[in-house]
Amino acid sequence: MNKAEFIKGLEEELELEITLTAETDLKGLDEWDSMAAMLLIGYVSNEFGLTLTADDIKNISTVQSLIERIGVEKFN
Amino acid sequence: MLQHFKGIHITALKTCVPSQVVSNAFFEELLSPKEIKIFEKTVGIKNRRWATDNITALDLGYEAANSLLKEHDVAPSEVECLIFLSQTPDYKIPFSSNILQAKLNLPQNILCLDVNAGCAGFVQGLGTAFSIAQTIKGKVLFVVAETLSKILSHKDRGTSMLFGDGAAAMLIERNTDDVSETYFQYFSDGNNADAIMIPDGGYRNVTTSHSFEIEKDDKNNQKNRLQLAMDGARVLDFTLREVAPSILQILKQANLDKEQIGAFLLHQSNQFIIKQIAAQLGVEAQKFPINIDQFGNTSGVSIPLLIQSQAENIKTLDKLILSGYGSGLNWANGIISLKQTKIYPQIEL
Repeated sequence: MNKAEFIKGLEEELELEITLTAETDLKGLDEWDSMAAMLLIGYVSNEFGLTLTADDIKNISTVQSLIERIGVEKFN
Repeated sequence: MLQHFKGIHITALKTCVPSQVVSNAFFEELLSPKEIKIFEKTVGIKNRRWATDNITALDLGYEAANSLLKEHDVAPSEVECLIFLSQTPDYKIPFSSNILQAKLNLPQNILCLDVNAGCAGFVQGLGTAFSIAQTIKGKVLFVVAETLSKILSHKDRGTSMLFGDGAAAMLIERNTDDVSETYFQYFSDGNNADAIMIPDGGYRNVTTSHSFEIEKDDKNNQKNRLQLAMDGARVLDFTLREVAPSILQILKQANLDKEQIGAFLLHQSNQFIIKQIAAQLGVEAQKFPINIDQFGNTSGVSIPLLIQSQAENIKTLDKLILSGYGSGLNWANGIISLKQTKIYPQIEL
């Protein structure tokens, strides 16, 4: 999965009405709440087999910061 | 702590839920249609049962227990111990099991014991019941009952949609002809005691007029200090961190492989959590039955409700995992067979 596919998939998973970019602040989204966090954890877990923790969720800001937490090397 | 039993069984089980069904449409003022859709997709709850004002957890527990004793043809004198497990008892004093003893016409030479425990309570209470059953000739009647609907603020998105009411009654007894094994294992993390809490109304923070004042958070969730407060992110993190490794630990201690387990009966708190735990364990999701869509999170009652709704399937399986996790924070697992268990049809009150 490349970065663009990941971002598009995340946008669909969170059912966003805006277009997500690497610079989007996830916590600033109208849709951001605990359920969005669950969708995010589920999406990352399904795609990368990585379970994000509450600390990860707390530390993530932009989509790029999420990608860096997952590991940039995992995106081709 | 790990417990190991041989020849102790749940011989009969009966569940009772309130007849009042509350669907997600009830929360339309709290969540938009899109938010409700995402809630159903993640948490998985569509309906829950809520007791009406005049029905308490003790009433639900009584109906389950009374029906169980009648249908299973048990004389009151056969019951030597009654355990009532709940976080929503009728009174602070006296304790509920004593009231239930009289309502069920059980003899006076009986041990009545209340256990205050949450979502891990089914396993905690069952382990207590097994421990007592091992030392007596008669039966232990274990009743778990909750009316969490009565402690919720309907203006708090973090709790109001999640919880439901219900009760289950079980008979636990010794049968040395069948020496099948049962294991229970318990964990506690009291450092996170405030993650799920009703702050006032006990004797640390006694009830004052201030207890009834509505407090708002930054998302405009509103509740008073006598209603349930939950730090959802902390609880989610705890379950995703602790439960799967603890299940692997009890399997190892029982010398079993996860492949030998017929079904994993997990506390029904959140469909997303159950699926994540299945993935963490590397076990196919079909082995993790789910009925949270019908009943919501009923705390310690959720696993018995799941057993009831999976009755036909469960009878054919040799070994089952039980796993509860929640307020305390506490978590507890069991390995059990329910082949000997007569599971009676659910009733409504």
